[in-house]
Amino acid sequence: MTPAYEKLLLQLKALPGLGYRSAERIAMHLLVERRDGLTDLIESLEAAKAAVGRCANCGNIAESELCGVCQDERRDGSKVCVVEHVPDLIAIERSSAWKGRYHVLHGKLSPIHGVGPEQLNFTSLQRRIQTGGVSEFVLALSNDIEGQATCHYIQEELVGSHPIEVTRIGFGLPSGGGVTFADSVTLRSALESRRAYH
Amino acid sequence: MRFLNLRLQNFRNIEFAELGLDVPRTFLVGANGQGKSNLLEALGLVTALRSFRTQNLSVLTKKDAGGYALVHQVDHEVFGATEVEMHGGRNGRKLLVDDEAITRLGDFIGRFPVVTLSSADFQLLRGSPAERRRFLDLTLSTIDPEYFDALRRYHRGIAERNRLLKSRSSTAEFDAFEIEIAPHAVFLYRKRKEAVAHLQMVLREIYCGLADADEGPEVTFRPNVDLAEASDFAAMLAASRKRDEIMGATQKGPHRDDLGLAVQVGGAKEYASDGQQRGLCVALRIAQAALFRDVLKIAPVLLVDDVLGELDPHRKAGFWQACPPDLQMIATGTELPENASDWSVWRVSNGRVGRP
Ligand SMILES: [Zn+2]
Repeated sequence: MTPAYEKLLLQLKALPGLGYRSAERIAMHLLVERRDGLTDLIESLEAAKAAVGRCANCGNIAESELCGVCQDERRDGSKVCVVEHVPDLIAIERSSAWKGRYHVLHGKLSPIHGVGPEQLNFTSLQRRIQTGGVSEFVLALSNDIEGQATCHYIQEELVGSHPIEVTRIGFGLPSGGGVTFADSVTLRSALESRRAYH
Repeated sequence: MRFLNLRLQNFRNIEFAELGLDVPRTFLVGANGQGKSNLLEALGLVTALRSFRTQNLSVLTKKDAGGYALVHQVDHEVFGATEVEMHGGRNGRKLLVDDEAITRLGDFIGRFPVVTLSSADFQLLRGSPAERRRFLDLTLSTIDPEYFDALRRYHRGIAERNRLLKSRSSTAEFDAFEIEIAPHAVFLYRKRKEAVAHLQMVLREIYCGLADADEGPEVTFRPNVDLAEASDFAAMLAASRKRDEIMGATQKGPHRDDLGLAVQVGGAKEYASDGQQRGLCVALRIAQAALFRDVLKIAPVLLVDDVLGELDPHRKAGFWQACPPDLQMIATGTELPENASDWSVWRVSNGRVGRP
């Protein structure tokens, strides 16, 4: 194969969820089968790269300094739902069971995967805690040992003695499962039945 | 439960076979290496997708075939007539119960209990503590889905902590994981302790039927850490960080538990004879089956892989007495058992199955 093709293939294969076979199929599709669509794709990638960043407050994707949720005056800023990933936030938004704001950690503590506190979006979380104005954290992290340990870390290390109520969802979530794959009904009941931490 | 029928395709040395099993006693007879044990192995997968002979399931596919397929038809106390379909091999694993795909192993384990007796059981006595823990874990996972869940979480937690030990992590990170590991650790401890006590009770009764009256079997729980409270366990982990860091791994916890297995003769604990050891292994398996029946309210099927040949005549006679008569039994051997007329006999030869 040609060097340029090989390079593209390697880039595609590095994307999450893509193996060699699917990377190959996509490369062929882009370069041979649907070549005329390629320009549009490149343009939207560049436009997205220029426009989309992380919300300075919560870590959600945003096209300005603050994301849509953080800009929305009708949202209750004193209640913050902490999630691992942006798709979790989107899933909860879709269930329309949450009127507060969010904080996206971009992961959970997992030494095995090299994720420690420095790798997570804790700095801006700490800032939100210290600035005041937050009265409740709802921790919507996955129901596994890493998600639970992350909950514990936030409670003990970050919230500490600040007068903030910390609750966990988890009731009704499939064991070992995350937020993204729970259906709306389950998510809604999980949020409503959140319980005080310890 | 009872097996009604088994169909196999490209499994071990069997290209295709169908086996009617709708009787209380089935005997598979044939020379060694013909495929008898392969048939039992196929039946045994129905409990936890685990083979009693290997931990490497990739060897199950027949040479030069892409994958194997098994269809078990069973009659079940709860589900009634049920079909369990399994596919494995290069094209990936698939599991269907009555045409419905099962994606989480936890939803499947223990629904179709079988107990396999084989010469590999000798490893329970002679092998490492890991063999005995595996026995205990499989037994408990079968009767208690919560146990399976706690076991997975515990091992995951210990793996995370072991990584923390190697990366100069902060106290807060250790705290966060240890506090979450602890409840699972003490849950395993409590469940194991309970189960071993139950097992010991059943074992005594069964062993009486197998051997002389003055022999008493003994199965005891040997926990690595004798703590029943989560807070105590968490404190123990916290106190062990320095030492564990030097050793490079978590040294104490249920992952180091063991079982004590012994035979007492005339009240004194003696070094058990070969026959006594084999008797103990057999009794332990029957006790496991009785435990499944008592707890699950589902009669497990006994799969007996050529172990009778290894028992002395006295214990052989005792074996039939010790087997709960309400359990379906499927056995193998190189020659027919004594009362062959009580059995439905299949002859297995070169991967083919037929009536003799
Ligand atoms: Zn935001």
